Amino acid sequence: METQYRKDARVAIIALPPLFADGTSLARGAAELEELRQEIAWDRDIRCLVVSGRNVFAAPDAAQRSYVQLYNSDLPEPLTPAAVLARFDIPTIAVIEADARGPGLELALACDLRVCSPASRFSMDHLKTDDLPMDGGIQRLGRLVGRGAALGLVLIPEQLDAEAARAMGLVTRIAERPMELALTLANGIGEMAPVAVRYSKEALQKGMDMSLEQGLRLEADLYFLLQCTDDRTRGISAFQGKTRPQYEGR
Amino acid sequence: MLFKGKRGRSMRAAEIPAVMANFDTIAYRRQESIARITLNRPSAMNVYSIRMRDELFEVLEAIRTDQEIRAVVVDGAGEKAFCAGADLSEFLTAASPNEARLTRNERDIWSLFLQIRQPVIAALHGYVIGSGIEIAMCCDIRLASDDVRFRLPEPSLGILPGAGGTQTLPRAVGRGAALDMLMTNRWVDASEARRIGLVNRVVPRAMLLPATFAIAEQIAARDARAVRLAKQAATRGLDLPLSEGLDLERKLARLLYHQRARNVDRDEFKRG
Repeated sequence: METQYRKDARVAIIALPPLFADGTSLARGAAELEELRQEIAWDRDIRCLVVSGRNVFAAPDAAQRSYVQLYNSDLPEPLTPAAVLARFDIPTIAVIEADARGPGLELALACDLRVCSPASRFSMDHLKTDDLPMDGGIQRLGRLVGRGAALGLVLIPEQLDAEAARAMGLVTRIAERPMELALTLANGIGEMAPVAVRYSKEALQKGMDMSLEQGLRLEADLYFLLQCTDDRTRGISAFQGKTRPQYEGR
Repeated sequence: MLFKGKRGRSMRAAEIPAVMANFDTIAYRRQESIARITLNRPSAMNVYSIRMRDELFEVLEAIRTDQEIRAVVVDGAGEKAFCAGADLSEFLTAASPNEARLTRNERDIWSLFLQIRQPVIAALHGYVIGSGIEIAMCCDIRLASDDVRFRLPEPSLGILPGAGGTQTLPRAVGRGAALDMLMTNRWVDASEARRIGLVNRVVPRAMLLPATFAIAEQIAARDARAVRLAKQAATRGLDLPLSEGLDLERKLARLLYHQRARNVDRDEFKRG
């Protein structure tokens, strides 16, 4: 397995291999990631996922051809890395150490939060080579930054600097050492009640694809389902007794 | 725990006396066509309680159908907070999740709040935490004083926002900023709130109420029907596919002109 995985307390850290060399490496990367996702889904010690990878978000020019190969292959429903990242039920943080462009940016967009370095640059430059985003990029970009800003990035494929990306909501935070900040955020998430965190993410991400009325219903139903957890009692009792809660995910 | 509401009772807000004395947790006042709801538990930083829910429900239901009210202002009493969240001393008292869910569905304060036809303007100061943010998000326009501080602590308390926050907040600030607030439990100050679109305007503390009422008065001076229809088109339209949103906008515009034409006919008829 080329995809590297390690646990640091309650945080899962995945280092992606270069994914975009050809269709086979895309398919293999997605399959490995899906295998890890299933393992992590049942590992209740894990509360947050940090996704990194040497230059993986700065996809090479050949990346687009790799997607064409993958989609033209015999696989009936080819799984892609971004599609797998979007399936995680725990919060996911993309660590963008260098640039994020094209299919690499699509990968980062499949995470919940994005942390980058002050020198990071961003572009959705598929149109420069007469290509289209193929891993959910246009859909996720529009839903994240709004359609005006998304159309601007796709149709006028200029590079944005980190500050501009933050201003439009494309990245969450900028830090000199993005991995350190991501781990700090992840550890903070690890301190929270895990079921409440997962339900918050589900209510927010799924609810945004529904009408407001349906989304309110989803949130309310998850809210009442959460009342069956021990953690809720622990959290509220700790607040009432001014102590620090220890959550067990039950 | 079942609510103590008086079923079937409907009161027009204009019939509620200009200052109501019989509410415990809110204060309701009406100045001509502007209604003002003040969260009024200053000693408890205006935390949201079951009692507050019932009182808000009564007032909002009355406001919603009252043609004479043209704008609504929501603010918080006391120096420290607009609203510091839900009253956690009442948590863990529900008989069962199923009964709590039934109560919620029968007395759905948040859906009612989001269905108020008149523009609702929030004046936010001090702590705006958890349910406080959710109340603010039920409003259409949000003003904040420069001392405002927002935070969503729910997942760190083992709970979820349950007043629509996971839905209304990302619809205002986008999913990235909403997830950032929800997953990190960090403070957001006035300038960041302005930058991410959590509030429309930031003013000095002394100017908060005057600026809020200035907007309410501007709105109240406009054609009330046009204002209500514009709010409806903007809020309901965003939940629809674009083609249906365009249909809705056209339908509401035609309704407005049709009603206006009818009024002109009626006035001419009266004049003979």
